[in-house]
Amino acid sequence: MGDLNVAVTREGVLRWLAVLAQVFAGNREQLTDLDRAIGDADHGINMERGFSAVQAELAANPPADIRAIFQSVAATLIRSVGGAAGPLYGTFFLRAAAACAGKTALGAADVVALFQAGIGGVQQRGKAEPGDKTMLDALLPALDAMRAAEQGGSDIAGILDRGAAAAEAGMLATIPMQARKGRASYLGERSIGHQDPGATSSCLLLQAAARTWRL
Amino acid sequence: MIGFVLVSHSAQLAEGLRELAEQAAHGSVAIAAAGGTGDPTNPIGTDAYRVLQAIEAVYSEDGVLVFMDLGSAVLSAETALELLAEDRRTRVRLCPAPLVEGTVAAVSQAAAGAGIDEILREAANALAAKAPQADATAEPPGAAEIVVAVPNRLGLHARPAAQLVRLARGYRARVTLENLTAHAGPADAGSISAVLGLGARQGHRLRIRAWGNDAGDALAALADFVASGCGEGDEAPPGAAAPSPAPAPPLAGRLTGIPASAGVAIGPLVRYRPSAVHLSARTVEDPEAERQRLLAAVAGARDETRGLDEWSLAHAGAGEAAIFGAQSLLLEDPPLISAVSHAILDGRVDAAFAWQQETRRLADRLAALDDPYLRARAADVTDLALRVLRRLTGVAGVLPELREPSILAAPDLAPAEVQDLDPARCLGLCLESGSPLAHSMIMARAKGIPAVVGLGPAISALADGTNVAIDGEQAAVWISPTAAEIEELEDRRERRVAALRQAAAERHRPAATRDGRRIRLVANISAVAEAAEAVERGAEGVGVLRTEFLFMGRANAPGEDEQLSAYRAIAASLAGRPLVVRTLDIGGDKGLPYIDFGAETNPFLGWRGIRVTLRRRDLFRTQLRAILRAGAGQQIRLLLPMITSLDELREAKSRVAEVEAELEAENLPCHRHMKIGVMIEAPAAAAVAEQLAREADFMSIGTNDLTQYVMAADRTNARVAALADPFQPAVLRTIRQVIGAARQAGTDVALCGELAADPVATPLLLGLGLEEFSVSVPLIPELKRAIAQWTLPEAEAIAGKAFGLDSCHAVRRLLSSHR
Ligand SMILES: Nc1ncnc2c1ncn2[C@@H]1O[C@H](COP(=O)(O)OP(=O)(O)O)[C@@H](O)[C@H]1O
Ligand SMILES: [Mg+2]
Repeated sequence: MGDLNVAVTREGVLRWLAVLAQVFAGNREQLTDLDRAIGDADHGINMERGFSAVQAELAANPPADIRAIFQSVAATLIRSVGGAAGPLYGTFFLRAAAACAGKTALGAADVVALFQAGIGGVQQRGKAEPGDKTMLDALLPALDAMRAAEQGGSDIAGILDRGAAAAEAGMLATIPMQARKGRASYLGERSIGHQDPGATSSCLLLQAAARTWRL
Repeated sequence: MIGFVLVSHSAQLAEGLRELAEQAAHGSVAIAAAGGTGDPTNPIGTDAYRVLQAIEAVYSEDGVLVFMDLGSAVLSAETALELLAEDRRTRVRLCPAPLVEGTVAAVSQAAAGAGIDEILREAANALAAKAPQADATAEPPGAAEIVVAVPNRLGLHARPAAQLVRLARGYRARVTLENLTAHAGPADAGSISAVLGLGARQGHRLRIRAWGNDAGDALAALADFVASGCGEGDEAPPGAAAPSPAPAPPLAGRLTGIPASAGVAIGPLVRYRPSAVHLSARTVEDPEAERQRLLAAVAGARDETRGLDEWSLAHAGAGEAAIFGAQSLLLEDPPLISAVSHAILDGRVDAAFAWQQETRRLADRLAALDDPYLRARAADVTDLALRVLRRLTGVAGVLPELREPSILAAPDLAPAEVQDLDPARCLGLCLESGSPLAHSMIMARAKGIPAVVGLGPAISALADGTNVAIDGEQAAVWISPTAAEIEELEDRRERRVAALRQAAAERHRPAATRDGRRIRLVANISAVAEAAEAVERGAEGVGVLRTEFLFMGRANAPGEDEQLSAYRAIAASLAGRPLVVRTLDIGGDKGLPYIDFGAETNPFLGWRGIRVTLRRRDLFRTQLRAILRAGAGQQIRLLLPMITSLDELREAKSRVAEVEAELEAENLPCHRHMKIGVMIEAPAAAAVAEQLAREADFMSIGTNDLTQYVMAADRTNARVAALADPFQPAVLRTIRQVIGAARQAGTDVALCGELAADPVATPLLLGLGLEEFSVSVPLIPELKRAIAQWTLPEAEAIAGKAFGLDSCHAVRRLLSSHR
């Protein structure tokens, strides 16, 4: 795992988070518009606020290792996001941190383990199921695809490409779904026909990883 | 000092509620508000750290209760718990009560010195106070009261107690009873367990008190009722001599029940009383869902008990019925149900464990009373407890070991128990309750074990070793049969065995009508080993492989490899004969520990069959991968259960296509373009059969479920089971329509329910043009012979006549007259 050519280092993780801050700033309107249709028009604002707060915090108190970075991200997101995405993504990074304990660099299996732990956390926290029209509809297929790719011997870039593609397909698949969790579920059938904002932000999260961790 | 934390998206709301609650608290509890995000530009939202801080601020060893508004407030509160130190976490409870009402009710209770459990209970009920005619919850002073003596010779035993409870429940007033002589109570008069627990014997003085709306009327009525012996009069109650409620055992003679599985058997009786296994507590993720499971199981057991109740009323004296009546009251007993509910909600333990704990406690309490009649009620409680437990765990008891070939008598049997029976040792079954249409009896027929059900408690009153004979067709049980009776029954048995043997000898001749029309005769199987047996008995293939057996009785779903090897093994046993694999059909009455079905008030109209697999993509995908892979080079087709619309078929097809593409991408050999069929079980599927026939490669009519859904009658509910008869004109017309639609479209259609195997129905089905019958393995030879009896024109003529008839009885009569 020590080989820097095939592993994500502390710097790689920080780069991903920096890219995420840009991505959520750039997609703020899109995410907010999606949330306007079936929620309360704040998801883009929430995500931008959360990830820019993450940047500020990381700059002010640089954590020593990967686990500490994710712990700091989790705390910041929980504190600053406000909506349901706060505890959900917060839990994602909390569990990701635990999965990275003691690691100075992440190999292919570690990357998959990171996402597996994080996505498991989202599932446990939100108790949503596939088909409920939530971020899990992007995350779970992504996890499946990443696992399969890892088992098939892909490298990190290959794994993340598969994951990002599956997340995108999952995100699009939320359009015909009826929401059963979160605010959008209050809309019942009227939630059908709109893409889920949380699934969209999750897809962005994976796409950013796929772009950044192309080693 | 108990602490309270109020979580809201709005800081103002949380703060305002805190103010409101302080008024009720009189400074005796600590309350902290955790509203909003604390971010002035985006104030609305929740923040787990604010919740955490609030918890820390009011924390004490006495515990903390957290009340929340919607959605992310709950997520944030849970996250806060995760961030809290472990030793503190266990003392913090998230309260699902409505924020405003729940908080105020809970704070008031806490200020009055209530413990956490009581507070939670009151908070959960807080909305009730808004109901328009809520009764006063507090006991107003000056309640009316009367003292009466109990005249009943045996005291307030089950029957009078049950009557009393029914009467008390008819009033809105709150009524309590206190046994002044034995210093027991006061007890809620609406609770059978509480009333029995008073231990009231003849001559004991009872104080009856009543509050509320119609207190005066209630008091007068109840006092009268008790004084007059609770409707018992002077006659001795049943079983007065013995503490057991069972009737005196008949020493000889004949009992009649309901026919469930044909055949004759003679042998010594062995009684089976399932006893409870010891359960240990399991922590549950979602206690509310667990509580719903409890309520569903209790309701199911109650309906069953009521069915017995009615049966006893019709077949025995009212005395027997009152025993079951008292049992079914116990199942609605508010203190019992709420004790179990709280054990689940507060302890986060599973329903089975909580139920077993509480019912044991109740049984112990009754067993400790010094009245022999009341002590006997402990056995009733144990009996009932078990009935619910068996529903909750699906786990069967341990059957007695049959040392010699015997006839088994039991209250009822679970399918898993019948599954375990060895037909060589268990010659026949006699059940107190049960239904011929229950799954357990389907299995008895499949195993060729004769059975009579609905015999009532008399059967269990016989001593072990009593010689009995049963005739499943006549629904009769002879107790200590005479030599002449035995001879006649032996004779009948031999004729039957000979007929079966002849059929077995002809097994490898393909099925055909007398005039030579070939009929496909295939097997329904649900175990790997059954495939070989099916071939052995002359099946031309498997019409339905029920894959549930792979999924049941385990903690996790079977993986792809495990499924693959099972499907491959079956295909290998069939040696090239066609195999239809039905995808997982779970839900309805069958649950799995690793699928969360949530709370369903109506599981048969809920999440089952294809509805589950389309949403649990993970499970479906794994199963499809295994089936498609097993299909490489084999004649395998796929069958989808519980289809109600074309959309579901299309969605399932696209999942299959995805899996196929996936397997190809992985270079794994698989069956390409596998044929996909649909089960016709719901009236909706029958209604659109003509559309389904165009897009499905084949159809299979499942008459068991179809009958229940068409007739809107549950075959396990004794009171309506008779309606769920496949010979009902409504069901037959539905079947005719489906067969017609399939033939029109040129789509294969098979029939795979019980009806297919019933030789009485054979000419009718042949006459409708059915060309494929799928039946359980042991029935194949007999059905083959039944098919060979008819020519098509004969069958068509009979079917024509049957469709002119207007009741299932007339249809049955017509068909029997042609046998
Ligand atoms: N229980 C849940 N499990 C998983 N995801 C959820 C859940 N509830 C909501 N979400 C996701 O959160 C997204 C909304 O996030 P956001 O707008 O930040 O929160 P809020 O709904 O509180 O305003 C939804 O689009 C959905 O994907
Ligand atoms: Mg929102």
